Amino acid sequence: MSLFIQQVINGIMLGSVYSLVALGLTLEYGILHIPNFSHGALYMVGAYVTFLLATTVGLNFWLAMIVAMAALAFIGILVERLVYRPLMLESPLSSFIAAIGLIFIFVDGALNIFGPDFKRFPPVHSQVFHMAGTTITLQRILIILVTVLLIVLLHLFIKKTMIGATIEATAQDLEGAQLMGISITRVRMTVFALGTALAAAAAALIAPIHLVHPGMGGPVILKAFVIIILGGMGSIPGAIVGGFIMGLVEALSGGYISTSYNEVFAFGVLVLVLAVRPTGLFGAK
Amino acid sequence: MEPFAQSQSMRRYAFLLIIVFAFTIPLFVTSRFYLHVLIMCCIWGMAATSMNLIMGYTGQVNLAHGAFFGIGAYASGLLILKLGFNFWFAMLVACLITVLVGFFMGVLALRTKGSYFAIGTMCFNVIVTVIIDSWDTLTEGARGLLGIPRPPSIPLLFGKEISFSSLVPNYYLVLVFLLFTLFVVHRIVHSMMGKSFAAVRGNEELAESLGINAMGTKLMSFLISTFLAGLAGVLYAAYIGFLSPEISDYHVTFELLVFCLIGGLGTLVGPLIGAFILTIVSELLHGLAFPRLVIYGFLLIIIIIFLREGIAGGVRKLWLKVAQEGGR
Amino acid sequence: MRKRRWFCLMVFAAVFTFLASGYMSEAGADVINVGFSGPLSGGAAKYGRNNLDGLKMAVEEINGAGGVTVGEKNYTFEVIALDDRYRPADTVTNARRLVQLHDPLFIFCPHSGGILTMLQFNEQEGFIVHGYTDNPKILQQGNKLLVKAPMSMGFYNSGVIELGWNKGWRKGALLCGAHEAGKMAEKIFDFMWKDRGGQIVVNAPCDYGKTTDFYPYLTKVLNAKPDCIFLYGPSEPSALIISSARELGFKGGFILGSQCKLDEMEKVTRLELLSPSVGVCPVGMMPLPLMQDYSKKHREKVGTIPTSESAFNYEVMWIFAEAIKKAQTAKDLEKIMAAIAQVIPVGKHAIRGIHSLTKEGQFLSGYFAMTVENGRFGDPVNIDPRPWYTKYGATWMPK
Repeated sequence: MSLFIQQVINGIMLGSVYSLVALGLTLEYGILHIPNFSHGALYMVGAYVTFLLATTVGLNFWLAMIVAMAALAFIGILVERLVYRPLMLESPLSSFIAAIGLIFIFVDGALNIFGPDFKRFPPVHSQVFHMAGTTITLQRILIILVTVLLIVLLHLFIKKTMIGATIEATAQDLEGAQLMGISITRVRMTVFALGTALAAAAAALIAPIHLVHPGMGGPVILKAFVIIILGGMGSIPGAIVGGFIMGLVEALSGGYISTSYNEVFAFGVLVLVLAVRPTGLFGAK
Repeated sequence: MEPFAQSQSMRRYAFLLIIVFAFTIPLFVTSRFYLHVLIMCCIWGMAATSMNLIMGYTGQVNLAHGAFFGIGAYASGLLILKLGFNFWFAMLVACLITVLVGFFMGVLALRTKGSYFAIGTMCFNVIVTVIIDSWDTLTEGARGLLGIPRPPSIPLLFGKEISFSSLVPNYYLVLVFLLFTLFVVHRIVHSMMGKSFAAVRGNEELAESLGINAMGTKLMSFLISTFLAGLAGVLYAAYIGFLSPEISDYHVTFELLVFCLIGGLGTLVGPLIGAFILTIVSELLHGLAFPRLVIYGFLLIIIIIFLREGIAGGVRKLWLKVAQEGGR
Repeated sequence: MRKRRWFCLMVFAAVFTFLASGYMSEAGADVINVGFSGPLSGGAAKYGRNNLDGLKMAVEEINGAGGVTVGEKNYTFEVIALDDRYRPADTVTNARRLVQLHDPLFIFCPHSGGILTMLQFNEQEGFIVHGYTDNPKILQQGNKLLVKAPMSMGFYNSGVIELGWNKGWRKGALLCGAHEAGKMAEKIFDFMWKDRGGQIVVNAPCDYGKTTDFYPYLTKVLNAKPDCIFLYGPSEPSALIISSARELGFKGGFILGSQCKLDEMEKVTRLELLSPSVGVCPVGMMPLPLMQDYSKKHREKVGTIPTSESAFNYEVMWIFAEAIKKAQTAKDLEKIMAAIAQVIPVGKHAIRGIHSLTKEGQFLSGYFAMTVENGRFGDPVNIDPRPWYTKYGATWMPK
């Protein structure tokens, strides 16, 4: 029984990280229809920025995370303005190619600047708690808590602020929103800044538990796309639920069935879901 | 003649010239390096052209193409090595196996549309790669399948034969199949079936309302494209002689996608141009001191932003413009 | 629109003018080119670069010492390194490019896929391959222009397993990487452990590079109550697995396969947490004076921890240079190959102690295994290759 509970906790922690990444992606893909495959590469850049701030500059972990989020928001805005804006009226496939180009630039750039090794984050929040036969470290608890906090903040931002309302309006009806005088360029900028900042947050949170290396974005972006499709494109609850499902499936299938295939189980789950509901769990059509 | 019709027949002459030129290349290109690069360009060109059928002409973003390339490659390799099949027979059976897998995947996946179809097929691709990797009693898994032989020599008259141990016959083999692929795609696109592909691409509901069976049409296009992808895989396996699960990986799919889009989706030669130019550019970039892939990524972005319809599209616009001005 | 098209053309033109640099003529009459094709980008970049670092350092030293003299001519060496992203098809392209533009005498490649494809034409095109891999299949192709420095994985891990067995561990859990070498290691551990009478209580393969969190794997493994866990994968993730296992309460030992380098692991996880474990003695810690010198040089010049990858390629390059000198030819590959057996061990550059060459092209050398206990490295235990190779030969692999 404690094996089960431990795997569930593992799954929830994994799911938190996946949710944050998927949230950013669903904002970009669902609202702006930009298949930003470089989201994973930006996540990796966020991890490196946090790492640099925490080691070279010596910032406190939370401060490093916030600064990294801001830095990545800025990079996200640049990416949107320079790469995706010119392709705004083209088919999403063109943006996909541009995203692939961005991945080469970021990943190979990080490889050459920082080197190919796996970098270890300085230990932080490493107290271990044992309860009911399960083990959890403080950082893992914080990951779950901070994720919930960020989700709540995002929700408030979208529902309670003016900018949030413009984002929602744009998501519902692009032309209508423009007719109402909403500046689409500003919405695009904000969405990208938000999405990339969330990816940076996820990377910063997981960095102390794992290792930072140039290829860390690859498997994450794949899962993130699966999550947003599973949850339904553009659906924020979908991204959250999908993220946790992904984490739980990975942890539990690895624990009980086979670890060789545990990544693939999640993809198999998606295929099954799409076979039954071609627009995802929460998707509208 | 009106400028457009004139440009049409001029285009046909140009194609013919290029094909003749392609056949004469080995007469003056003796470098084994250049021949090898050409062979790889042809193989990737075949794979990209087949992807174009389902993506460019039928409008379905299929991200599982690499998987079918890999299945074709592995199927032929395994049939030859483990069951002792003859190369040509293995080629046929391997392509049929690829189509069979494509059928199962298509029936499941084509119920979804747009982004859902794209990501769903990407998942299939990942699953196929994992299966090839894990089922190592069948495929040798990550160790790799080695020793796939070149095609057996083709006997000619007077005791002579065409042996595939040197590069030139391999080049011709691949060239012939590339032309076959282009021919098949060209005929299909200009046939009734091709028009129904285009109708589905334009607007699926409208096509349905006109009596076109959208699901059947999409499936047909899908199956033909997987057949041709498997064919490219078979040629890859025989030429390189060694297979590992990475050749079915989604990164291969992305590379083919890049070839299609940079070259020009929805044009016959676009993917081929993309395959050639990008392979050659990637080779040339080796000479630089600066990180190769960073520049490659930068180039991709520049090209896709400034040449919206890819290189073929840009050339076509230029050509039409010139033809128009010439007609005046 | 026209402005954009011109812009594109200009960018292309700029790129193409750059590219002339790649074709600037290399082979002056007195330069011997040495090619390298390996993963310099992507997930295996570190591995590829380690290989290349050793090769480059050797070439620098050889040139600094005046190169090699053949008859009246004096030759220096030049390394041309190309990235093949771990793809065999790209290795072929790179190798053919090297042959076309640089006519190398040797090509170094660190992955078996690339090596195997090159072996299909290296004899025709005329270059010697150094295949850095522990996959014995490359020796079974009957190629006469091939040498291989790393010994078989079975050999490297047998010494480690012996140390682990001596510590009294009996119930093993497998948690090896999902890559090619990891799967081979898994089979070897399984076979050898059971062969001694040990038990394998659970097998949980894991992709060390792609996994975000090792807890799910460790939870499964620890549930089977092993007294030792076998690991095989890159050093830092292995170290992370160990620290995660300690967090989860595991007090048993770790048997670390040959890919895990203890000195790199120490940077990630303290020795107290790594204890108790057994593994291969890192090259930088080998109690050999020649190796200690090399290790210091490597740290100063390259700035990273020296590894088997860099050390072996360094030594093999020196062997090649000495063989050219001995054979007194910079063209006749068969003579050079024949001379190799006569020049080993290669004096003060025999840092890994290569002392013989089998008929298939396998260089024989030993290694050291060591324990990590109570927060300290144990004394290195010398493992001689000859008993293993007499019993199993160069090409043994578990089924």
